[in-house]
Amino acid sequence: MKRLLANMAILVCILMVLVGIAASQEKTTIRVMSYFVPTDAVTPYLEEVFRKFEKDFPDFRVQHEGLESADFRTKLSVEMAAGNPPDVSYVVISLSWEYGSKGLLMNLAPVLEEDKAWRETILPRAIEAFSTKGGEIYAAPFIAQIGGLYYNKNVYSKAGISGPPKTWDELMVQVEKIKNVGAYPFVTGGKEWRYAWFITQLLVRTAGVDKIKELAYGSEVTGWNKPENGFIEALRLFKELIDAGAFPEGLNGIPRDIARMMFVQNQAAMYYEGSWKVNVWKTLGGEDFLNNSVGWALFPEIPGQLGDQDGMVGGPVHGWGISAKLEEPKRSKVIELVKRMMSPEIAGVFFERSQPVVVKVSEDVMAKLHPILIKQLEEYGKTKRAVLPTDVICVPPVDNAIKKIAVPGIVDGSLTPEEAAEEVNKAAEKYFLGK
Amino acid sequence: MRKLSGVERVGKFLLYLHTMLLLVPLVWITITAFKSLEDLFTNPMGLPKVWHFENFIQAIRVSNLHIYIKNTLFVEIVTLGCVLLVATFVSFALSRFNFRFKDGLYIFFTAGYMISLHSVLIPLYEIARNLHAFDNLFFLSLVYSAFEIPFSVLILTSFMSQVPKEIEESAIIDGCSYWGIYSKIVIPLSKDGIIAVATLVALHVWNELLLALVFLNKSSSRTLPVGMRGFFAEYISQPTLLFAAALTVSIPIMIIYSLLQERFVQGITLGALKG
Repeated sequence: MKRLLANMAILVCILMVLVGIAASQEKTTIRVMSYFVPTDAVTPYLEEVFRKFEKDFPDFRVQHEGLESADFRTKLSVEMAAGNPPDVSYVVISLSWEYGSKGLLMNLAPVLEEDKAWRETILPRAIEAFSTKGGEIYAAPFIAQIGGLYYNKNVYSKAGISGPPKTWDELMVQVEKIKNVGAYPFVTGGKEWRYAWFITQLLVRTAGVDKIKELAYGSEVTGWNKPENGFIEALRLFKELIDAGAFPEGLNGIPRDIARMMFVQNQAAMYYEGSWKVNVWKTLGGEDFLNNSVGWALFPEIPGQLGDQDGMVGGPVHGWGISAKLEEPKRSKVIELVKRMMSPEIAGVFFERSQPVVVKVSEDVMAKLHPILIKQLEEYGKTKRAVLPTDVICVPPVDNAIKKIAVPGIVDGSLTPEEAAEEVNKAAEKYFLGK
Repeated sequence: MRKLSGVERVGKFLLYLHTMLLLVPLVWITITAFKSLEDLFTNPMGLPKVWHFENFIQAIRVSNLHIYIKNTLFVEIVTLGCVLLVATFVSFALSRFNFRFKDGLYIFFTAGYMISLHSVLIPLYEIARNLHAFDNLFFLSLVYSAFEIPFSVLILTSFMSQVPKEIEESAIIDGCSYWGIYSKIVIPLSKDGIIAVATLVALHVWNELLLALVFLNKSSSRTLPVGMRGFFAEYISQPTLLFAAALTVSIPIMIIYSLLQERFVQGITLGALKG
């Protein structure tokens, strides 16, 4: 019996020592949350960065959580509401400002100021775009998007159209011609409320870039219903397209993938969205389809409107936010990890998949870009009048009111442009004035 | 065999047609699971140009499907165990005994059914955080159980209250204990209700996304609904791989449902009449 007890005591001691060793060797976990799901083409490259980081810093372990974008937003909002942000999160500008102002994301301005080498890898225009009025930067700028009109050359040729429209009147003539050959002039994923890019482009024409910024986060945040701010007029133009039959019936119920399929199958002539579409057309329609059947142009001018007729929708959209709750030594390691996630090599991987990065990349990468992407970059480089879409720069309640209430209301005819603008303004008043 | 009348023939034809229509999505998903992405988008309704059997292997490999299935089964088993144990005990007490505050207790148990998941999400998150329970499948199962017990008590109480008192009284005269009444009389006679409840709970847990999304961080601890969302990339989804994965994971459910189908329908129908 005594021997048994002695053996058990020894065993317990050994176990305690082993547990102690295990506890002392426990690694610090860095949690990265992003949209990059396992099936995303860029994910393996990011995972490679994480594994290399773990090798270089053996006391740290990177846990990457790639979630579908709606799931990502849901989870992020719960974690932020509970005051427990992930160590690194992939956020759009508006969210970076919102969470940054609540003390949940770290202000990276001093870090970028101190680390000149890192700052110099990021385009100054991107740093400017991510900066708040007070000069804070709550996410390291990484990805940009440039909006424009993708057109299907096969449908154009069938309808006897020689090229993309230069003016609104030309566009309306093309709408009729395209309808006459049995195709849809425009299509988009209404089921997922993919209206923000289109409506922002109309707003650029009716209100102008500066006014949009005022509406989103400036002095006119509760001025969406004022006729002089151009939003009602943008909705009216959108209604004109709906009334002309430019979009398929039941647009609010058309999923994004079906909309894309219609474009790839030559059932739809035009699709207005950002740069990522280049890779979408290549993946879904094949290389030949992208090279021979897809064209890209700036949205037509709308003479008589008060906005910017040469203005574009686009700019830096996403960046890597770092939790403000971190303490040393984890904090500096997380910053190091983010730098590696934005290295020119990784940036090149994103760029080659038609996601324009705002980090300087090599000449080799630039040489491999598709001509449409190069054209987008040239146009964006030329214009001084560019603004991000409302789903990126507006606070979530206003963004939701625009894409989920106002525009769908115009599509199904349940709201007039004035009523739709009023709905958006109500959301803005509730958020900004607490009404 | 009796000859069918004209109306019956039309009715039978419509039933066959209805069944065929119900099969259309399943057939389409099956065909799509073998296509390439380009083939799907250029030829959505036709047969695959090339049959990509490797989609199934890729779907399992890329998404760690086997891990998600294992995690989901663990959560299913623990949740079902908890729910059935608690709900049958509670329902037995509520349906077979008279005591003070019985009605209040019934309301207490079933009122949980009215609590919206979204309204308690952040408090639950805080609890998980304080208990260091993220990525803990047992904790997730307990939360699921808490949400499933009210509904199960509601159904099972109505079932058990229909078991004739006389059987119970005879058993007591023969010296049967309350445990004996529970295990040898009430539970066997409520079998259909228990199977119906178990099937519904299992389906809820199998499909639950929000709680699993919030409480599970590691890829290795994800359940199927969260894992399957990994096929929806921000810019390009992978519907062909998704369908291959969906087909793979729906096979166990289809087998279980087809085995228990009769009892399930019976349980639901009886549940609708009783109470």
